[in-house]
Amino acid sequence: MININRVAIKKGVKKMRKLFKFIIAILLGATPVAHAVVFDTQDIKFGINGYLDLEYTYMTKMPMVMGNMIKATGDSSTFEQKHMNLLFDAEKGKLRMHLNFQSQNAYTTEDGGKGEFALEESYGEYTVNDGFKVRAGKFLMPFGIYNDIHYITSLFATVVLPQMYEPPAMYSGTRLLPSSSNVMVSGTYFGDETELSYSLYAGNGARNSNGGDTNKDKQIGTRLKLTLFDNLKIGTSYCTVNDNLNGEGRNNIYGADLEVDLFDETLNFQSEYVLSKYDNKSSRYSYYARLTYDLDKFNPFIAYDYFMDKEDLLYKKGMNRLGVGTGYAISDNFIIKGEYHYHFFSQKDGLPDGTEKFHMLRFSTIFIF
Amino acid sequence: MKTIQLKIFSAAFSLMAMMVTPSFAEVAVIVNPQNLVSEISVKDLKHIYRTKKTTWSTGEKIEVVNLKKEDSVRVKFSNVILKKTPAKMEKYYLKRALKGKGQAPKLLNSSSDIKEFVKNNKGAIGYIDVNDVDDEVKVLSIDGKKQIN
Repeated sequence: MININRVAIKKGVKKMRKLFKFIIAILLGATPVAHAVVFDTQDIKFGINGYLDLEYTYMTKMPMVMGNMIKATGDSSTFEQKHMNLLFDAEKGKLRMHLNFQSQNAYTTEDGGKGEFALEESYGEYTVNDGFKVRAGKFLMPFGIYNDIHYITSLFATVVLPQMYEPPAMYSGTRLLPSSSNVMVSGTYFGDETELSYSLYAGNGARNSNGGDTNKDKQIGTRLKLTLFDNLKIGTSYCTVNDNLNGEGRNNIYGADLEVDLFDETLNFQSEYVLSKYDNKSSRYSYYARLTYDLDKFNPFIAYDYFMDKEDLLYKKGMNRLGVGTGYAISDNFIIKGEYHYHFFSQKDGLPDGTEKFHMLRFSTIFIF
Repeated sequence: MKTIQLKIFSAAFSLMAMMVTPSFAEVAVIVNPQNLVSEISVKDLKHIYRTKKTTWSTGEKIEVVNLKKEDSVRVKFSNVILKKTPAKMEKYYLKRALKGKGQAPKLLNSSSDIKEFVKNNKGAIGYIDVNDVDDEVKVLSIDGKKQIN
């Protein structure tokens, strides 16, 4: 009997060893250093890049607006493919063309699945000189730090963006920042220890659900960014748009941002403020501050984030979010992230019991090339 | 016995010298002879290799070329001028490409490939081992110096 057990144990150990080797092989196989696919000819540079991120979120009981009531949800969790983007870029002399295809928020449902596929960006850009570039097509307006880098998840420490860019699902309003622009001039002037960048853009604004353009005028905006000594960046943004889809009138949006890199770019402090003012409804505003430490492989952060919308049943109470977490770069192309969020409201009256504060755990796996 | 020891010592010394020599490579920054620029600052070189500065003062497009990240000449150039290792610069280029801010500089295999590219492209800039410099390319002074030591 003892012999049989020993044989069984040996078999078990062998199986475990095989499984262990298999896992190691998968990890090694999944983490090669991959680079962009590049096809260069004498005249044209052509490159393909991409990224994919999968996200898991666990949420405790929280408040949610349902009709004209605030109700409590139960604990829940979701697993979704957040983004899968393929970027195509071709350069011939001073002309550059860029395409960004995106599959977003894909998850399985009872009747199959949901998700969106879109041509996220498509534009041509001509560089007259560094101080004057002209871009036309569809692209994200460069309002604030993250619109400037188009939400590429591998490029920031957190799983989710600040609420001003990516409000949680319980928020019933639209995004604080409008998105697309259609024409832009931009440029950078270089000084000894300074860099000054500007962007001036115009766009169509939002269309109604039939695809018609109901705007009385178009969206226009500007961004200025001053970089001092390579490690201090100060930005201001302004945009005005008259979508007026629900009678809210003209929307003027003001933004200010600050970024400081210290100790050879290992410590990064980032903060932004956005105020969105309407003609016919209350203002919305949001701000955040985040400190990130770059430990080569590990990328821990701590962040505080606030959002106020007096028109929203829930967000008029002032949503505060504290976050702490870290990313870990398994290789240049494979990153995992995990973070904890503690949410609480500045005003607690009218909230269902047990929802005055709630918690979220978020994890993501990102592959980039 | 002494002869054998001397031979081993001599072989070991030669091997060490061979291993160490590349890190002492002296690097020259080169452009096409038709380029009007003859001097450049470290700051401008940084902007060019960070792909932020993309045109010469004449408005001509700057065609930047790099050696592979393992190449000792690139290691020297990257560490001294850009103050970042080639591996960190590759990460930087990947991030720029994902942000939609353009592609990484063209990668070439050797100093002779770089020289050939610079010779044939008016707006090109590259760097090579000082010993490979000839009359077909123009060496730029970097803050008054002809080579990176």
